[in-house]
Amino acid sequence: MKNITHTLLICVLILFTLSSCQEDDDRVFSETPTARIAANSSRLSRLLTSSPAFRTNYFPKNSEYGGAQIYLRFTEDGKVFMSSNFDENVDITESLYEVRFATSTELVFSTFNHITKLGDNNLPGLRGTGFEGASNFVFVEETEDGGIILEDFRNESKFTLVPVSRSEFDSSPDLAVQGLANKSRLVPGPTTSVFKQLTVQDEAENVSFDLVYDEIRFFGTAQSRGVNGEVTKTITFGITFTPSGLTVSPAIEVNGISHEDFDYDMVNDNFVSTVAGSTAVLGSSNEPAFITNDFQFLENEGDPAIGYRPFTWGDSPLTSQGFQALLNETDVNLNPRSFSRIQFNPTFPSAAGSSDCESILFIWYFSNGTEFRADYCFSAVTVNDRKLFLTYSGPSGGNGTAREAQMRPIIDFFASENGLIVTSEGGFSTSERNFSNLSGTLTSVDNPSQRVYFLKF
Amino acid sequence: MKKYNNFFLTVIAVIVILSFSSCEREDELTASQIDTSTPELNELDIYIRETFTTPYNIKVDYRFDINEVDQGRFLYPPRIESVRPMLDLLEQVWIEPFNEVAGPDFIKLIAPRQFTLIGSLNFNQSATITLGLAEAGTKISLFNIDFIDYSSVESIKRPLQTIQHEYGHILNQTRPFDVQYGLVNPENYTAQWFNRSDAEALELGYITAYASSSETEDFVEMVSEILTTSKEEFNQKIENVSNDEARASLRRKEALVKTYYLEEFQINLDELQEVAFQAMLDLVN
Repeated sequence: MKNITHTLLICVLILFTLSSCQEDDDRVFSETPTARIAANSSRLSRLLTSSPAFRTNYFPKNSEYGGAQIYLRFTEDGKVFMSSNFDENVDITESLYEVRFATSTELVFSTFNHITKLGDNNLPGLRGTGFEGASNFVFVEETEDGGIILEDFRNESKFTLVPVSRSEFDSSPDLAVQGLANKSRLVPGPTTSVFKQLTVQDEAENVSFDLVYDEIRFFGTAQSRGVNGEVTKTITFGITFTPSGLTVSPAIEVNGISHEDFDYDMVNDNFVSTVAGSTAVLGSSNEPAFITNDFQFLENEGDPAIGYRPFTWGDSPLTSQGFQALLNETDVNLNPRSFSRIQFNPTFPSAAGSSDCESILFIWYFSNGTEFRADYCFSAVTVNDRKLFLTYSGPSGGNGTAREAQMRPIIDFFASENGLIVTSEGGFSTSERNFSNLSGTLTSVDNPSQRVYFLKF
Repeated sequence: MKKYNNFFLTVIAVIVILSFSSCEREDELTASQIDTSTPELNELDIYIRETFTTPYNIKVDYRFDINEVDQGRFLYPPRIESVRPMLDLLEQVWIEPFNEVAGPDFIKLIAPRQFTLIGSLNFNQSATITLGLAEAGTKISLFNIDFIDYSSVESIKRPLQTIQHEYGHILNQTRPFDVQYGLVNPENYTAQWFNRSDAEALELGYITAYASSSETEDFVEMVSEILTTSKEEFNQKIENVSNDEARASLRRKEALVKTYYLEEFQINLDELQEVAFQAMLDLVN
C-alpha cells in the first residue's frame, strides 16, 4: 500500500515538473511597450515630415464654435510653419512643435502660431475660453492618403491633417484671404439683408430654416417652424470658411442626406451644397422663413412707444450696418446738423376711427450742440401677414416741415411699402446699458439691410 | 525496505531540484529601450541651459505642456520672440541684484527650480487675471508674457512684481516671517479683495488691493512693491496716504519686512531695492 502511495506521489510530482515549464506565450504585441511607444512617436514624426504640407479645417468644439482653415508645414528640426484664415493676420509664421509621449503619443504645438489663436482666451465676447482650442493632440491613426488623424483630448474633437503640395502651402495666405472674403459674405453688410436662411430642397420636400449666424463664434443655428410658429427642427453647426465657400461641422443632415462643404455662388450671393439630388443653400433672404407674432408685444403691452438713442443708451449689433448707413445719409443731409435720436408712437387700429396722425415719429437732431425735434405723422398701424404697415401723412410739429427732405431716409424706413417686421428681443441690453424694459427690432421689408434695435417704453 | 526508502527520497529530491531549475531563463541584457539621448537644442535652449540651468539649477519651460498648467483653463503658449526678453528680465532684474547684494550663492541655494512661461492671459471666474503662480516653493508660472512692452518701466513692472511676489512666498516657505506682521491691521483682510481698488486698500493700510486678501499675500506684496519701485517712489506712495493710522500700519509692515530680510537672510532690503530698481531702468534703456 505504501509503495502504491509513493508511486502515485512520484507521478504527480513528475506531472507538475513537466507542466511547470509550459510557456503560454500569448503576447498581444510582439514588441515591448517601450519599443511600441518609441515606434509610434517615430511614426508620427515621420508622417508629419513626409508630406510637403498639410491642410486642416480645425473645429475645436463644433457644438459651440466654428473654426479655421489652417495650413501647416513641419520640418525635421522641430519647426512648424502655418497660415490660417482665423483672423486678418494670414501670413505664414514659424513656431515649434514636438512629438511627445504623455498618456499617448501627442503632437504638441509648443509655441504660439495660428492654431493657438483658437485658444486665445481674450477674444472679444469670448473672454476666458476663446474657441476652446487646444495645443496638444493625441495621435489616432494614419489615413490611406498619407493624412493624419489626431484628437484634442479635452474636447474629443478630431483634427485631421490632409496632405497638400508645397505650392498650395506657399499660396495659403492668398487662400486665407479668399476664405475671409467668404466670411464677410455671411455677415450682414451695409447693403445685404439681415435675414439669413438655410433651405434644403430634395425630391421629397423643400424645407426652409431661419438661420442665426453668430459672427463671434462662427456658429449657425437654423430653425424650421410649423404653421403655428412652433419650432419643428433645430440644427446647429460650426463654420469654417474656405477659399471656395465654407465647411460646416457637424454636417447638416436633412432627410438622411448630409451637407458639409458649400461653394459660394456669386450669381445668387449664397453658399450651395448639392449631394445626391439634395440641394442645401445658406444665404440671405428678403424675409424670414417664418414671421412670428412678435409684433403683438407692441400692440398688447400698454401704450406703445419705442425709442432709439445710440448716444445715451448705447447700441446693439442688432442695429444693422444698413441702418447705420441710413443714419449716415441723414447726417449728410442735415450737415452741419446731425442725427440724435428717434421715438415712434404707433397706434394700432381702434374703433375710434382714424386720422392722418394716429402714429407719430419724433426725430431729434443736434444743431450747435442743442437738440431740436422734427415730428412726422403716420396712419394707424395695420397688420397683414404679421407685418406692420404705415402710411406717411406729412410733417407735424417742431421743425418737421423744415427738415422733412433731410429726414427722408428715416421717414421712408417707417413707411416701408412692403411692411416692417418686428422681433421681440427680451430685456433691453446694449454696449452701454441694461434696462428691464422690453426691447425689439424693426426691419424694413423694402430694404431688409435696415434693422434697428429699440427700447419699448 | 530501508533501501527502498532511500531510493524513493532520492527520486523525490531529483524531481524537486528539476522543478526549481527547469524554468530558469536568463534573457541576455540588451541596450536600454528608453531614449535617453539629449534632445536637439536650439539657440534659445542652449542659452537657458547656460544662463539658468547650469549655474542656478533653474529650469525654464517656454515650450507649452498642458500638464504644467491648470487643464481647466484655456491658455496658449508664448510667442517664441517673447521668451528671450523675459529671460533677460529674470536674469538682469531678479537674479543679478540678489547676486550683488546677497552674494552669488543666494539664488543658487533658495530659488524656484522651474519657471513656466505662458503667453496668454489667465482669467479667473471673478474676472480678475492671475499674473503668476508659485507652487510648493519650487515652481513659478508667469502668464501673459506676450503682452509685455520691454521699453516701458510700467509694463515690465507687472511681471517683476509677480516674480518678486512669488519669490517672496518661496523665501517665506524657507523661513517663516514674524507673526506680528499679521497682527498690524488684520481687520480688513477679505477674500473679496478684488472689489477694492489699490487706492482704497492704501487708505486701509495695505500696499495693494491684493495685499488685503491675507497676511501672507500682504507680506509678499510689500516685498514686491519695495523691490519694483525706487525708494523715493515708495516713500511718496506711503506719504500720500491721508489716513494716519493706515500710514502708520504701512510703515510698521515695511519695517517688519526689512527686519525679516536682514535677520533671516542678512539682506539689506534698502540696498537691494536700489540695485533692483536701477537694473529695471537699465533693462528698459
